[in-house]
Amino acid sequence: MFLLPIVALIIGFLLVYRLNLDVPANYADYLSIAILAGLDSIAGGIRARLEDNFDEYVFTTGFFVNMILAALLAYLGDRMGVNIYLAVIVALGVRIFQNLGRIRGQLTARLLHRRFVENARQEQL
Amino acid sequence: METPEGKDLKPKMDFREKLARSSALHIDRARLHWLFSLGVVCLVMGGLLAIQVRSRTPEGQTLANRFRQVESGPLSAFGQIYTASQKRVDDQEATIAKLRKDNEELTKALASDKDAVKPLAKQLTDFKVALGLTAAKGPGIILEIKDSTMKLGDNPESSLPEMQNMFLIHDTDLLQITNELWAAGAEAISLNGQRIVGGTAIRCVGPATRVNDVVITAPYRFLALGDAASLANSLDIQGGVLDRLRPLQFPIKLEQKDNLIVPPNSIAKVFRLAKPVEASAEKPAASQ
Repeated sequence: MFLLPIVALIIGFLLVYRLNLDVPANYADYLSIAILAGLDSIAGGIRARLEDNFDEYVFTTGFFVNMILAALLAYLGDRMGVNIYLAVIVALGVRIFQNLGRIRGQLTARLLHRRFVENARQEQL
Repeated sequence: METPEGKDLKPKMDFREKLARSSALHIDRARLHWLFSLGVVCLVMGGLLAIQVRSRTPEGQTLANRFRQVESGPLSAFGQIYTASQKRVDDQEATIAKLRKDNEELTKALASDKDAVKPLAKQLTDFKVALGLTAAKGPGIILEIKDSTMKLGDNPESSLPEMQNMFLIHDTDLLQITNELWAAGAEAISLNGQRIVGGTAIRCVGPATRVNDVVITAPYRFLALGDAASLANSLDIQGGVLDRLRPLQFPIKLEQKDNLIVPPNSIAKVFRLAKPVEASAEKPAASQ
């Protein structure tokens, strides 16, 4: 079940790599920020799924819009001469770490304490 | 840390449903399309990562390739032009050497036949030696100098760029040495295979030196024909060139030789504007 996203990742990677798609050199830095925002969205999506909060529309739109916004912010910062990309990186990094932490919490709760969960539910009913 | 008890806030569900939901390994068929959207997103993500990776490492550029980059690209055109010109120059030098040899043989044949031509032939040979058109042999000295070893950091100050200059051989040093040698009576001087004659210029070109329009680099090797003892002494005098260089730890090698061969100039200087003046009619003072 978790294989599909990973396989999709690999397929996307190989496809674009072989097709030799490129981005103009001066936009490469904005692409890195966009990728960071994408990673944050994915981490948030996985966390939401594990917490039963997942809404695929929120997830998909959030993914693309966050990426565009992050790149736009970085670009704006470059035009203004202010290093806004630093704030973007810090904010996204913090969110990624928070999401990863919650994912870790969910996984340990489910996989390692499954027996505890089942027993607790049985007691409640 | 969140616990599954938090799910009690949602509407009560059947125990089995809860169990099914709480298992991370169980595929929830009813909402399979979340997997689909995640898959699409990951596809896009993979593509972007590929672009990023490609922009960081251009196709086929390894560390080894990076140093060979000059072979392809705009610089290679200049490189090719340069090597082509260099080859032409080499060919022309070979032709000149061959023509000179033929010339000499013809002159010799001429001189040996007629007595009247002999003094002229001798004069011609002397001029040739002076102009560096032929190789010359005789006693002389060999002087070899290199950049100072002190620039490698013996002295904490020696790493400053201004101080670095003090530990390098400059064109002025080479000119001074040449001057001393001429003054001491050298009859033929060559520097790294370039014969030094009347029109020879020794100039600095970045880290190298240009002599007779040929670029040479350290170590600098002087061959000078003349009285070996007086040549060596003139270089070694107190306050002279070598005396100045020795304390700064420039590696200097000076040897006297009995049989030295000084190479000729590959390309002779061409006199286009200077025209000879009839010697008999003019007094030296008037010919300014």
